[in-house]
Amino acid sequence: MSLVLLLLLALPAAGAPPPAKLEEANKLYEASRFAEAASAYERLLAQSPHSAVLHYNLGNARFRQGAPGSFGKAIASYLRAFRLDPRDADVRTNLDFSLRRAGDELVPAGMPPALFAVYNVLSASELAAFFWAAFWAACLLGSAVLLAPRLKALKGLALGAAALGLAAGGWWGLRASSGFKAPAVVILQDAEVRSGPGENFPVSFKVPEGRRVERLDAKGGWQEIGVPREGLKGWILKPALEAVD
Amino acid sequence: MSAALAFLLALAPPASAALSINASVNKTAVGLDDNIVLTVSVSADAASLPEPELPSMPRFNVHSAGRSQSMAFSNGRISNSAEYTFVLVPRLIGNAVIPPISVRSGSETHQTEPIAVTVTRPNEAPPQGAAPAAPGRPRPPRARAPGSGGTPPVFVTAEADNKTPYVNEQVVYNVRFHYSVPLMGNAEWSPPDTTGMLSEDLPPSGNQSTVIDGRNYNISEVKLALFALTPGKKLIGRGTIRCQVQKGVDVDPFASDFFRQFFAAGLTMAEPVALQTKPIELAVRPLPEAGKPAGFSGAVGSFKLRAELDRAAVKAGDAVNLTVTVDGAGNFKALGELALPEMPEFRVYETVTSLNQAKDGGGVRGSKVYKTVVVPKVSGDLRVPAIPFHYFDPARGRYVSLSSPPLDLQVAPGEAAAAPVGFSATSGPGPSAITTLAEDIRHVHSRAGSDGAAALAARIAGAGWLHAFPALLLLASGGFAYRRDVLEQDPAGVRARRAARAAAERLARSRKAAGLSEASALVGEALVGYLADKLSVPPSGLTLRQAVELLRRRWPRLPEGHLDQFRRLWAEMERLRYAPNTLRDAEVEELRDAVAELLKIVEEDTA
Repeated sequence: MSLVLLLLLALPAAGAPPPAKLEEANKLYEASRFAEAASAYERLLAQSPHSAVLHYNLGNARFRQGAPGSFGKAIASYLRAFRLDPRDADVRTNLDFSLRRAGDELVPAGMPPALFAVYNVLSASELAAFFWAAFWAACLLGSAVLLAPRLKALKGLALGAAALGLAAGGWWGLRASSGFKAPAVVILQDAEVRSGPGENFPVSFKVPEGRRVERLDAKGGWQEIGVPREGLKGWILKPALEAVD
Repeated sequence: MSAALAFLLALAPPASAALSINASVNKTAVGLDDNIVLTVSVSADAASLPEPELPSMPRFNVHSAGRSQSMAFSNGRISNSAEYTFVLVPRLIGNAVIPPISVRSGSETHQTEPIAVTVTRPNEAPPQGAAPAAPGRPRPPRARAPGSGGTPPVFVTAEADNKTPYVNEQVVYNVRFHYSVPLMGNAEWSPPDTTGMLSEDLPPSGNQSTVIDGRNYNISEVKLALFALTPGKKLIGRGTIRCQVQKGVDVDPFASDFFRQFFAAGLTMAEPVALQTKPIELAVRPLPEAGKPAGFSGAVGSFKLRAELDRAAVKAGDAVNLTVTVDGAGNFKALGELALPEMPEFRVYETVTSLNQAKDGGGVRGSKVYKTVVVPKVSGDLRVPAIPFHYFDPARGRYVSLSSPPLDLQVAPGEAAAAPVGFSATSGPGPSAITTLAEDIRHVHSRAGSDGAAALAARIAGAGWLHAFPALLLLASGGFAYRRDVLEQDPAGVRARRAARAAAERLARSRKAAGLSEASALVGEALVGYLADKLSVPPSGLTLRQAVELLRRRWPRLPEGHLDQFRRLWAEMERLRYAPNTLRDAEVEELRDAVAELLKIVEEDTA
């Protein structure tokens, strides 16, 4: 148990990128050397994959890069940053701005923005962490009460932790079952989507760069995708997509 | 932009202001088989321009060959000019005058100067078989009387240069009117029915002549550029030429005594003639769907694209003219609006277009100019993105996508940006509102922030089977508590199950006892305590007889030998208790082992 706690406490230091390296990459960005800045952010992300700041900065560098596919990749980076830190206003702003350029929108139609903000105030990881923390607390407190009847006073705390765990688990489950389950972003301008996995199938529709799609099935070099907003489905070449995992 | 334009137009002076007209020709001496291009320019500081009035020019066939207009705004003033192009085909040899061309605006009339033109005989060699009319040159064979040969004296042919065009592809329809007899007056041309097609008049070629069946024919051409609007079968109907020819007289228009022949013929009767062209069917192909670009707006032909800004460095808030020109050959009237890319750093006003069409025998050529006023909203090195243009090239049978290079513009801070910001109760209706100049992404983050929390959350969420530990602990605790509760409800059973362990503990203590009497006493306690615990009776006062009786009652199948052993050990224990002075280590040891052995056997048999 102690070992587990020590391990978890030791993790925060491993999540943050070195400030000097981050500053170095930012200087490249500010000098309009966006391609080099993007490479620098990618190198830092290899060491700190859970850094929302790095994903966000990488999104900015890709957005300004202006190379083919970089706009779609920018949205993919912003989505990763949003997944890690949905409370960051800059991340939300840049993601929403980019999605609107791609004909999409961050807040689903008909949903009040305030409700969307509350619904996404915690990331999926944070919700999962809350659930598991409450689960651990409920189990440990419950065990203590069972093993030592004189600690009966802890019973209320155990029940409270269990209720908190149920609430976090329900929220987590709701988030996992709604929206994109296996999202990807189109990184090709007017990418052709065919009715089957091959060039011999006709083009059903085209998707602009930067649109979010749902990954469904895969076959060879082809990926089946769904576009929930328009209710469309078809097959696209895998290199035309960047998965947001 | 519309409001701004309307405002500008309202401020503009009336059309008569600074109205001017000029006329010019490309040459003042022309052969009978050539033509003259007459250009009439009308300009005014007004939004609308009056049309020039062309005078009668009986010595020429006059054809309109296009109009181009340009409009410019400068310091709130409008400068508007139009250029009209006419092709004049001479009809008679000699000195001719293009009379003054006038333009009216209200009561004001402006005129051009008359232009003198000399029409000479054709310079080039006469057509095959035709003899020159000039002295010293072979005279052409005298034309035969109408109807004397296989070819009629007047006839008409019509042809289309492409009978399977694409939608909006240009088709040149050419009508050739042949006549070998003098015409009485001008021939009248009634164009064919071209329903489903746009039609543009093209200027005719110069006068031509040819010899057919030994007869010398003059040829007048009428040309149309046709553009089919939809796919499918289209019919160019019958065009009609009406003219009057002299009856029974054969006049050679190239003869040196042409005028004598002509006036002599005037005494004869005129015969009306109506000639019709054969209808021509076109199979119009649809534009292919494969490869059609997203921004395609219907342009068909062959085009080039260029874009330019009228200035390379301005201040924020200054207007810059973005001019995009599409030129080439095709139906310019079908060119749609230009799709300008998104320019968030600019305020973009409405696009004004002007069309400049030039026509020749080969069809319609020209350019369409899209002028857009853009105003940079922010300072810095700005860039107007590449402007796309797509068209279908019928010669290559595929779509072509053009893109202008991006245009850079250096923008210095404007006056408003440089002015100090201040609020004054008297300076205006209230504090200024925030004005959004450009929407852009926010800047990069310079601090790593609390990314460790995200990593911690991710690690907790991904701990996997580690999360089974508290569940197992809770399960085990529940099992333990349940067992404990059950045991608490059967104290006799608990005592009986613990009897052997309690006895074993006493025997172990006896081994470590300091004296033999204490060791012996502990062995006795082990034996009596075991029996008391098994039988759930108090140890004090328990007799051997009572113990044996209870054992027999509780475990009837307990072997009698075990009971005898109990009796023997009990007696030995009593002996040692009452004769402590005779105790020996070996006896105590033997007794302890015997008790342990008996309790083990009894425990197994009573389990």
